[in-house]
Amino acid sequence: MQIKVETDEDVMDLEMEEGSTVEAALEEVGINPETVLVERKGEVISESEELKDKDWIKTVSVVSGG
Amino acid sequence: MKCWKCNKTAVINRKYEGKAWCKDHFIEQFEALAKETVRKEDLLDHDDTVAVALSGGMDSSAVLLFMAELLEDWQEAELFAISIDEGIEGYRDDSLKLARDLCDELDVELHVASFEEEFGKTLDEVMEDKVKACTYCGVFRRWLLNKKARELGATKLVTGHNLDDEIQSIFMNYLKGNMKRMMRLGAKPAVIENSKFVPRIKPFRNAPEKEVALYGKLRGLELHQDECPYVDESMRFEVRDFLNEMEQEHPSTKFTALRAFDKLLPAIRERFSTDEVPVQHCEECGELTSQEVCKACKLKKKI
Repeated sequence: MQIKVETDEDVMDLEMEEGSTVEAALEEVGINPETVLVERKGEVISESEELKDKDWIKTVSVVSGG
Repeated sequence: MKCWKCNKTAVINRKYEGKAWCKDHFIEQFEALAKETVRKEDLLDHDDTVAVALSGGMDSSAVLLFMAELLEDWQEAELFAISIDEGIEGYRDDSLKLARDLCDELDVELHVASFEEEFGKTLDEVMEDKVKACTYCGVFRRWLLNKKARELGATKLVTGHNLDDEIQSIFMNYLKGNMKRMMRLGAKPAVIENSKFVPRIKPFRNAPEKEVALYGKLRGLELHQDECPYVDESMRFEVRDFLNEMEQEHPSTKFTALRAFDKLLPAIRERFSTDEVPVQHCEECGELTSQEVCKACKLKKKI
């Protein structure tokens, strides 16, 4: 299935297996789930949520930057 | 993934406790934990005048929201907020606006104290001399927060420090071998018996940074994501990244490390007691210090 991951800097296209989770998508793009909240269609979802084909998820950084 | 208590979609899966929570149950759990911290650590008295240090960032905004609701029914307690305007153009202006908007919404009085008024220069101007910003900013901000809180009659100063902040500080102090700073950590740092010092308390000390952000977001707070242009805390960031990697690989690492530290803390305080630090009044400004002239006054002379 095809997934889009949007970060502050970029939008990345991923090809993932059916049943993959948000956590797996984050791992694919090198983001530690501890450091972000993830939204799908404006709603926060858990990192264990299963993704669906054509999902577009957005990461929101939560780590302090001074 | 569904909520552990109801059938709604989960907003978080807390691996460290093996439970997922929907929005409503997460908020309930989060607030219960913060209230437990306040109760167990005996952070507040019924007649406290509470000042919240409010930067406009997520942690301090969330703790102000929590405190405003907690103290709503406390007849004798009072609450207000203090923001420090360091004078960082394009950064602090935005977060101060968020702070003002939140205080208006919560009907909490906001007091703003600035570096320019107190020290004669904004941080932007201090930086023209190419000094290390965090050293000046940290010392000036703590000095000013305490002074302002005391002048306004506060008996407690609330900060938005979370579990990640605390555990990072513990590790950093350990790595630097700074035992005196280590013993000042805790939900309610060791009391300095002096009327010039306003005790600082951390109701969110047991809440992970990610959960504070989630709580704030679910409660409708705006996330101020801009990074301070002068931030230079490379060691803290290295420790932060290491701890986040450990937590991801071994859930509950941060909690376990904090609990272990809390067990050690009484022994650390006994061994490196605050009594050994001669608390006196600065010869120049009269604020508390362990030396003849406080660090803020020493730095003030350099700018």
